[in-house]
Amino acid sequence: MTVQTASRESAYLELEHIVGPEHITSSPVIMDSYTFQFNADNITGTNWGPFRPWAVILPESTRQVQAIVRVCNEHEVPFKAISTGWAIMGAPSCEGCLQIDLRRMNHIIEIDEENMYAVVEPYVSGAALQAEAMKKGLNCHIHGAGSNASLLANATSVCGQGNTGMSTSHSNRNLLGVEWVTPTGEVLHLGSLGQTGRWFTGDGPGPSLRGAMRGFLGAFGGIGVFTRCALKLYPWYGPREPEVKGTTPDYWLEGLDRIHVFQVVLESWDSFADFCYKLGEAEIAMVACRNAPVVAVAGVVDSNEEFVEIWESEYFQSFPYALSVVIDAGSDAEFAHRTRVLHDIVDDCGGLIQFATKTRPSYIKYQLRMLNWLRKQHGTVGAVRVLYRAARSFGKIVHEKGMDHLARTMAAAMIKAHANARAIFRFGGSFITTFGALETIDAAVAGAKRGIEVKKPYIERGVLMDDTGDNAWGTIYEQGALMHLEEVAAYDPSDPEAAAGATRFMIDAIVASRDDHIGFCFNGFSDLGHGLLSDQTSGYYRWLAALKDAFDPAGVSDGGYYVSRSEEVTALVDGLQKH
Amino acid sequence: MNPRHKLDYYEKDLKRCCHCSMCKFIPLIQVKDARYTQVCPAISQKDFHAYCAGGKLHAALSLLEGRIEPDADLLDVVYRCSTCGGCDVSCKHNRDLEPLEVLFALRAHLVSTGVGPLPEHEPILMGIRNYDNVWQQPRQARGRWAKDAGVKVLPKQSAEVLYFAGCTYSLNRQLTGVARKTVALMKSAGVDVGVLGEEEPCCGSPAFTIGDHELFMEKAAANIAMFNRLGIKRLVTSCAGCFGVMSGKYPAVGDMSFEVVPAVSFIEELVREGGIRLTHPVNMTVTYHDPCHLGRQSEPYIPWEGRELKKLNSVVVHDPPKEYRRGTKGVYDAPREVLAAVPGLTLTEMKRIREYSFCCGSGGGVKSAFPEFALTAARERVAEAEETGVRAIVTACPWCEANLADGLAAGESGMELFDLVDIVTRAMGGE
Amino acid sequence: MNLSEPRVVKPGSAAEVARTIIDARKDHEPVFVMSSGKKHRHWRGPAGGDGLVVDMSAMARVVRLDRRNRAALVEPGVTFGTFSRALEGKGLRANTPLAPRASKSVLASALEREPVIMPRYHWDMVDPLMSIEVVLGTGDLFRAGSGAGPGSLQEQWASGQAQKSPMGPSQFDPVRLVQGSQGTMGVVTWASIRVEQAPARTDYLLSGSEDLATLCSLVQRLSWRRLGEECLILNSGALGSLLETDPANAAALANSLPPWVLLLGLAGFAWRPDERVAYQRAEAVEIARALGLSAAPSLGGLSADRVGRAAGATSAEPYWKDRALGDSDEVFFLATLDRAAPLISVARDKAAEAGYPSEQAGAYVQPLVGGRAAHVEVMFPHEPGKAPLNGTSRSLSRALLDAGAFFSRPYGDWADLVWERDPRMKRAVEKIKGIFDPDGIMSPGNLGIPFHEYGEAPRTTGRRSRKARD
Ligand code: SF4
Ligand code: SF4
Repeated sequence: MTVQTASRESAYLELEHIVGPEHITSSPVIMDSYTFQFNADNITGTNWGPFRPWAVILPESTRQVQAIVRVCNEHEVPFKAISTGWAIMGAPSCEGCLQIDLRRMNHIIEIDEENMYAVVEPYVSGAALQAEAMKKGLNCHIHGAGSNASLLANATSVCGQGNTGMSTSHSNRNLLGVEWVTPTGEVLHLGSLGQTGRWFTGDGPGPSLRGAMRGFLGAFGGIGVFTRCALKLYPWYGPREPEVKGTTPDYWLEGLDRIHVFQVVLESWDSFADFCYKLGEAEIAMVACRNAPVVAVAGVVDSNEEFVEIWESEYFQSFPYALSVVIDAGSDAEFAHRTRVLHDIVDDCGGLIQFATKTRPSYIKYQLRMLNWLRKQHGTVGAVRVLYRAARSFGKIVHEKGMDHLARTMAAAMIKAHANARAIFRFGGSFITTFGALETIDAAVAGAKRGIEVKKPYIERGVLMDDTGDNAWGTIYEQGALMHLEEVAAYDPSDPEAAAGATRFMIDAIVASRDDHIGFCFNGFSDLGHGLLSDQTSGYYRWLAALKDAFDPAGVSDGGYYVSRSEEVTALVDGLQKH
Repeated sequence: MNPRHKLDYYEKDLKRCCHCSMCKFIPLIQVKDARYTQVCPAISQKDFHAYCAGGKLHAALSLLEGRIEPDADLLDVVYRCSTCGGCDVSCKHNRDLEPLEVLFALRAHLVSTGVGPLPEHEPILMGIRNYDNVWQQPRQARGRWAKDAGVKVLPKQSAEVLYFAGCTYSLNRQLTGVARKTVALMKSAGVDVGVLGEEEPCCGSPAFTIGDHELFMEKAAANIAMFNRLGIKRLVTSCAGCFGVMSGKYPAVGDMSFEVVPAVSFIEELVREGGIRLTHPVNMTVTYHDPCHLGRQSEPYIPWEGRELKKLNSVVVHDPPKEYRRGTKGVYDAPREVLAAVPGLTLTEMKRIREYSFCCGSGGGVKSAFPEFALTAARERVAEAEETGVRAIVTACPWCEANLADGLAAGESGMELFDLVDIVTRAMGGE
Repeated sequence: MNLSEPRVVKPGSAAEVARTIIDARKDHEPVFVMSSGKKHRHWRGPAGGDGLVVDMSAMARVVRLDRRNRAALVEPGVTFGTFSRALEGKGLRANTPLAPRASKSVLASALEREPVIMPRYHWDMVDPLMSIEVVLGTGDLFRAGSGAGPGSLQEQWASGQAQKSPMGPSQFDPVRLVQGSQGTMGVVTWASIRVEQAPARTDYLLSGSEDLATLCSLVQRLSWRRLGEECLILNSGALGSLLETDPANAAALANSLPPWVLLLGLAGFAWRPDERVAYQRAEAVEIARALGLSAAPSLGGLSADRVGRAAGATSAEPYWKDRALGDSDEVFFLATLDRAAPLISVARDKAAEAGYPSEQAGAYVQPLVGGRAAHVEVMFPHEPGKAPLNGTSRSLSRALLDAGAFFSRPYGDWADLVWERDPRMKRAVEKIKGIFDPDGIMSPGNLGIPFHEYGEAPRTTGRRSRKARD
């Protein structure tokens, strides 16, 4: 049902006046393309989100966004902004919502090379900014969603974990100046922007309003529209225009002379954690990313058939405590130092290097250790069987593409984030992700372990992909200061039972992470998340709702994936207590 | 795709699309410049999500599920698309889905249910039906270009190689030179070549892309039978559209006793084997535009019929295993090798090339239904070419040539446009 | 009761703080917080003795030091003096402001976003502050950052957490809203502070120049190469004061130095420290050389080690900024490194116009956020009780603002200046204050927000209510 009242009609005309008739529509076919979203099935059991937008509008400037928001306030039209718009949190969560598609706002406003930051509009993708930044010897933090996704959205409105976090931090922490159209249509310029017109910092004067806009998880469009922001850039020591070789789906980068990949494997979660701490303190890595065995395999194969064959060899599952480490260096001396230190730490932690950009003769010791671990896990006969099967399945790839295929594919994937979707969507078409608190390395590991336990019953029931339970993906941030490991569960969204199972798994995971105090999980947003977590988390729900009241008195910025206003929260909590 | 597959055959693909929008962009690792991230001319112009391939997949599902009625807006979404297949390559960089096949099946669905195509497409289909060409020219006109070419005419005579000019190179006066030059070049190399003259049929490609699959099947089946009867070993065509459909779609319709070869590959072979010698310098800097139908869409058809199985609870595999066409096996190297062999000529590449080339904007029936769309896409491509600083664009497709010429005419760069065979002829000492 | 002497309470726990605030709220009594029990620069207490001072010096525990996670949890009364002693021998060091007062509260410094001397560890303006516990102006006890939970601190520690993240909980970052608020939102009762691993060795280098801009370029290049831990620039006068307690010695030292000096510390840690320091040092020297500068372990007769040690230690008394003439006024703001030199010139020129001898002014440029911004400070040493700028400090600040200085920490007069420039931001801050301190009792007047300007509910001022009660 579409809301159509006289006020709506005049709202539509006013909106049309702002952007021109070609940039607004309420045509059903177009509305449905915004209703379809991945993870919608977790709410509705179908591919469709619960609400079709009332209309979609395509502004091209902050001024237009501001005018749109004012019309929404005047006519009580809820609105929801999206940029590259991926996952149900980008879609409306209420009836009669205006979807503000920021696609036309796609400019890199500025790259300040000397001061290492860039200013972007909402539709600038990671791929676009990275390409331009690299030309200047700089790089940007690209979110786990991949380089197709909006950098601004990741920095202002959603979580912000990413492959290179070891050296490029986290989207939350990379934000500098921000231009924010608040739910009432006021344009705020955070930090130095409001005072000096320059973007180099987003905090102050006085308290930092960055604190009101996103938090750990992002407000998912529930607190207005972010129209421009400045992002920290980081040094890039690779080629200014890296040469891409190969052809789809197998592309890689050439010329990464001082950027090498090492797939490090440890023998237990404990030694994995120790390794992570030591690696952080050594300050040598550009990337330290944990890909569970399923993902590591999925990232290098060309088909699911190939994946299943390799997976069934059980080879990769035998080495689950693995970390993909990329070392970068700005000079030969630095590269030599960093690689030496990496090997020191691997040896110190009793680990091994499974593959690397450059295999060294000394790696024979790692191969022996690998054999030894296989024997411990499978017995001698079992180990031989695993190796035989691995050679038959995986050997094919090595034979066709060469030994360095794995390392070069991984290096490209980590740096360019172009294939993040591959390794996760190929398992069925959708996934849900849980746990994922951003805290210490030890806590991340605790979450990963618990995630496996929570997931296993769902695998046994056949609703989630059988990945052995372990699909904890995550990275270390800021040279060991923080880490997150999220438990990913793949499923087939065209199977309603699987979709429902995924939702139940998510709720179990929230409860488990809460009751075991493993940190604030990824799913702690929206009234559902707040309801489950707030009581044990300093009762934050009420303050968040008060923030929503203060900035959105008319309640027009669609807060379904954020928070309701205080009065609704009170009613909700009362309701919960009654039941 | 197999034209027999109806829209509902793809239902699982529709449901497994993840709205990732990769289909809007070139494969992300290939992004070299913020200005050249897009691969889809449709969403580049219309911006609403429905216009990208993912959006059209959602439209298809919505239609199948009865959420939307087929209306003018749906037709606009579906037909304002050059069916260039850029989306398909980018999607398949990460996913095992068939977005382009869905786009074709969706058009076929609309045509078969009487909703499509657009009125502007009717003359094309009528032309194919009545005159065996898309330009609604009398059949006799088709052979004119070869009248004084001194070439055998099949089936009266026989030849090892059939040169198939295609509707546009036969009938568009500005472009017939390409056919003449190609035949001359083949003859000079001693190739036993013949043409069909006024008997040459339409390949049926426009019927396929517009969605009249019934007409296409009819044409394709008749053509295959005729070519088989000719006893030729190879069919060489200068038209990327003809080549794309014969290579990528005909095999689904019937067995073919001959090989289909694009003229650029044939020329490359002749150059490589010394059949022709490129001795005259062509002092020029050029860039090469990959036609979609010679590139990603010409990848040979891979037959597959089977069933879907699930492993590890959710991982979809196929029995028998299914190989996906990812656009990598198109004709990309041959034209570049020919250009490399031309003395004095320098090739500078654009930012979007090969399997992730940006479409000129002419295909899929948009040039007739949405000429301003086609022109805007051409302008974008021309601008990309201009940025390389070269003097000329070289390509190998009549549709691209016509549309890029419009794009050039609308600007002021003074860049020239050549078919590859023009350059080769010059390098051989001709004009 | 003597109205000129404010009432001071010294709570021993968060619960006591909460009770105090709740009472103050009932009484509409303004509350001012003093973390370490000392009035430091920029601290504003009750005007005319009206209001309550919460002296947090009795809450002075280093609650937890976590070497593995490089985290410390401290109460407000922990001073830099006690903190550095607590870290000693634990393999940790703090990223502190430049030679802080030993009596300065670690927590207050982090809450005030004071600049720290190791920009490479300063990933974000919020650093080194991570999580906090705060008694809000409502009297509610609230935790923010990852320390918010789920679970108590003990429960979080048991799962391996260390309150390491300033983000959250959930979809807001209250840590950022409390930080920089000059006590106007609530009273922080503990904070987790990001600390860094202690180096196995550090080589300090000095680079001197006539030209600040060149040194700033050097910092930018070093930042791009991620070289160096301690990294800061002082003018010779300020450096003299930092190193010498005696003004005459300080002046003599200053005279022997080039006008601007950069300190760079290059550290090696557990893994191949010598190798690391060696290559980094060679590169740093090379980068400096490319700019026509030298970077060496000494400058003239001054050893870089001495500067490095002084920068990272607490200041001996008198506080280094006050040494030259007994007291000092400062103007400080944020700018990008390329703007530091012109802005300092603006400050000096304006001071000179007001009759201040500009050669006497000290200057300090502290790169922050890995070199993307800098704290720029100009110091005007003066004799105690004298106003060095003859009442022109406001116009000096305005001139700086006009030239692009960003007063991110708007104390005193600066607040009015910045809000005048962007009133929308002031209204937004007031909204936040309206949530956390609806009765406006927390440090009224700070942030340039007098009590009556925010909040919806009708209420009276603290002064009036006190009088009414009396
Ligand atoms: S069609 Fe493919 S690329 Fe496009 S949104 Fe769907 S899954 Fe993504
Ligand atoms: S075929 Fe071309 S125009 Fe059509 S949706 Fe795909 S990329 Fe866009």
